[in-house]
Amino acid sequence: MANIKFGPLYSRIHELVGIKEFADTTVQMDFDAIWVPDTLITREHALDWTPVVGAFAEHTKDIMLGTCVVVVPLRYPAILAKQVATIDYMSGGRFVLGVGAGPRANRNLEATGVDPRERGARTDEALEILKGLWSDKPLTHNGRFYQFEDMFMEPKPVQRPGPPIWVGGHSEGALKRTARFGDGFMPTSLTAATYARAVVKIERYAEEFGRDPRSITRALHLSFRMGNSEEEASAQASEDMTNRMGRRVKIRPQDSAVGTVDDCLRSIERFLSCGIEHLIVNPICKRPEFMGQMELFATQIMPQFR
Amino acid sequence: MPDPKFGVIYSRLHPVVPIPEFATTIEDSGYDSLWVTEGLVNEMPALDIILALGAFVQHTQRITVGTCVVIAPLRNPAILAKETATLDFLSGGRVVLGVGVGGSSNSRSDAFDVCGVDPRQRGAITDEMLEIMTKLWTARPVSHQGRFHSFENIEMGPAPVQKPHPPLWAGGEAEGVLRRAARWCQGFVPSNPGVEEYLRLWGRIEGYADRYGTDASKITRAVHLYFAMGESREEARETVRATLAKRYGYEPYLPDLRAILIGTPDDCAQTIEDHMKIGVTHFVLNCARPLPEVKGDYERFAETVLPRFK
Repeated sequence: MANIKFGPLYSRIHELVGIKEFADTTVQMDFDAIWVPDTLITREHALDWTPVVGAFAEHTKDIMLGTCVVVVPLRYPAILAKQVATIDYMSGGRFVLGVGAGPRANRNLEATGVDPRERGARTDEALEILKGLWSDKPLTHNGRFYQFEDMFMEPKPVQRPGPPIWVGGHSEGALKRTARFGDGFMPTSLTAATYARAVVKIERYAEEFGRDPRSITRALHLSFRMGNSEEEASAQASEDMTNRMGRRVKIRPQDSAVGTVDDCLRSIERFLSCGIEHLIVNPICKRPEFMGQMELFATQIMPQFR
Repeated sequence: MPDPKFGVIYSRLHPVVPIPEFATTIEDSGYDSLWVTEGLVNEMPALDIILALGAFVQHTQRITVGTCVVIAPLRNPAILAKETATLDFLSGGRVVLGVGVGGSSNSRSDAFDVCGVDPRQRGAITDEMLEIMTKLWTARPVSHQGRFHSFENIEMGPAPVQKPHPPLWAGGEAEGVLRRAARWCQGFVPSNPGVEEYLRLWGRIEGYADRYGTDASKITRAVHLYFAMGESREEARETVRATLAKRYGYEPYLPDLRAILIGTPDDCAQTIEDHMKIGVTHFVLNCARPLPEVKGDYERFAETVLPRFK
């Protein structure tokens, strides 16, 4: 299990830790990536992902940058294609586009006027358009939501044929989307057993789409909370998340990494046995404890997997 | 009269001048603002306008950064409001959002096609956008029932740093632009109208302001000017003409030598003074010469013309 990659999520801490400070700290702690969520309408105020990823590109040199995840159906595909190509250009080819269709009950869809029933189909069509606009040939597209002829977009992304697309979620639609478009699979909050079952399904779908499932990177967006015991850390994380979301949320030990160093190591090993190579780690805690939790993770957990 | 402000456009320069270098040069040269333009498909390579601004925010400390202009109807109002508020936060309140409806050139109509937006509705879409963005920035929660968008109790954060919100500048000269400027905007930035036409446009805005009960005197009068320095106005106009013809694929209409910013330092200063006399306070320079020469021309202007007005 050597050489697992780790990256923290920069989420809702902009008032405490600026982008440059976060970038410097993350690199200094020896993380491999920085991830940014798409948080258009949230109870707790958060920055837009676009200028934030752009700013991280300016303040880092080598590490991966990614979204976890962009809610694709909210956006015009051509605008998203241009934004992603620009980030890839500005970062020198370090970007990973994490994508999702968004949950059905979703204020983001309401704010942007997207019919929730169309979100999956819109996501699939957008991914098709993105790949087409990043290719070397003019794109003619005849789809359900978009129709156009001979469109050419420049600059192209640095990574060819385009930045990797990692698909979030583990609904049936997300698994099919992963098999069809995904260079990676990055679900959130599930047990190792569910992850393993999802991988089997992706492999089956990939066969149907004529793709090699081994080309799909296995990743996981993992909530963690380090503390004195599994019970205590789980309870604290649940309380903090409940306060943040304004509704009851439970952080369960089986789909996160909570507790002592040994507890967290065991949890992560369980996930890694599914073939996961990349962890997006998200400390579930009160904001002032965020950087401390990150440091604990970087010093006590990460070196065990390198 | 306060000193006029000067800004420059970073348009399609990324292959020849990286953003960090351009940002530092422009800020250190004494300019007041830095602007980015939009280019989506089937035209010269251009970076995304929001991301380019995001990078400029990281590499400047003092100057205003803005769009000149974002093609508003190709953006979702909630997303553009959020992006702008984020840029305002990251810059400590230095962002101006210049909005346009998209012109009629070929590449612009392709941009509408690729997004599936009917160009005939671009004015109406933009009207509703300006209303939604203003509401999302200043009120919460927000409900909206409109022709293109409807939602209830949406609350968006963070609130912009600038109060009540980052300035909206209306770009263009069409009647709808003038109406929109009076109703929703804090700035007006037409392209190369010349002083007589500018006065006529401004009169129209004042008329609309009366109608809407807004205060036109609070609207920043800016102007976007094609710019090239040269031995004479005639010679510089030829530089501008050849550059724009190559850039856009058709012959530009440039009859008035004083409607664009061209020629020797004295010629340029004269054109600026002409515009200052009619109340223009912010000049946005769009250098129209081959890309490798653009940065040098902005530096030349900063050395030879800027000091006369500071």
